[in-house]
Amino acid sequence: MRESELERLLAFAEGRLAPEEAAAMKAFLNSDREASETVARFQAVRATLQTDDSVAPPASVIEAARALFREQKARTTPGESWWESLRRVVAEMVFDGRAQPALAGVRGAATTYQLSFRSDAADVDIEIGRGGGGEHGPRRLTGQVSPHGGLRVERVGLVEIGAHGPAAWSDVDAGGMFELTSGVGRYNIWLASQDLVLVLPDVEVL
Amino acid sequence: MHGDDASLVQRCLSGEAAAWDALVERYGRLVYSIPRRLRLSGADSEDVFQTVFSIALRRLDTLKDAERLSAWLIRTTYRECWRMGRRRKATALDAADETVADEAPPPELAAKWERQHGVHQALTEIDERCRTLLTALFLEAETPDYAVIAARLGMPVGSIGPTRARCFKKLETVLLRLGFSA
Repeated sequence: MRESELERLLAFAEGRLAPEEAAAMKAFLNSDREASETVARFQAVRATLQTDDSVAPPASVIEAARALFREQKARTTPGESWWESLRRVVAEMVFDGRAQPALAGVRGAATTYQLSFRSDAADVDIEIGRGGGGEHGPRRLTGQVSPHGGLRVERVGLVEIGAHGPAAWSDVDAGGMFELTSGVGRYNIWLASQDLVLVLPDVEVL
Repeated sequence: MHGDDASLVQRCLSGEAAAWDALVERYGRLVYSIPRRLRLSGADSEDVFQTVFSIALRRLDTLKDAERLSAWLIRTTYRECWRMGRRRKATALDAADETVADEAPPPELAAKWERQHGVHQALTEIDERCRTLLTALFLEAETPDYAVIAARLGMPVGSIGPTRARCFKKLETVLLRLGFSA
């Protein structure tokens, strides 16, 4: 599109054309898709800016967010994962549903059971059950973190005993709920916040 | 994800601080505006801002696969505002945060904020002379007075129309690259 044509299009979009010129332009726009899209974009940009309620952040806030990267880099040595510099807190198991009288003696037969853990940082309840594939299929772990104070747990990962860390992380939602899938075995479960990793040690998945 | 964003995230993952600075610069306005629109105080808005960028920093490895970084930031920021509102309510410090009634933003609001971000982003990518002229023209009344704008910008009145057309062409090119649609 030539510059003079674009100029006329924008003049039309701004309502600068005389009535007869505007009518001719309307007819032209009905037959020219590229031109009508340009006018629509011009009007959309104008409408967007005229109703814009965005606010630029103060420079100090931008600077503090920039510093996050350098601070993390300073804490992390080359080759480390982001969680390696976090403090570890190990929780204690305070309830094992398999030990309840109703299930005593039938450990292998129970299809669903609950475990509860306690720590200074948060309490965690987990339910472990079959994931739909029967006895030999994957197990489904659903849990909820109840933090103490302002702790916000964001991620959860399953760590094989002896492994360096989780192979993958899953999200913990805003209500502290999470879900994992695993095979039968023993695992540590890691729950990560900004400042610490809460470890649920030696969780037996049957 | 938009190609520029994917490249920025990848460069952050490679440890390039300048890429993180660019990411904060690019999305700072989008993130900061959300708590302000939701009537959080200045201090709470700054806390939300820091929290969101802290989360983004820790999740860079997953963000490189995010479809749209702007959409992810809007969702995350809104959720942090909601959390902040919940904390405030729990401690009965401020009832004004009741505006954040849900954990996720209404889709029409999220779309509007994303569009505003797209236009701002496009404006930052064109030269200053064009940015100044277009902003002045767009923010004026339905049919802006060229004489007033020409006087304000120190330009001949006769050059406003042709310059505006050239500048809009530049803006449109960036908008199309960013996926902006009318």
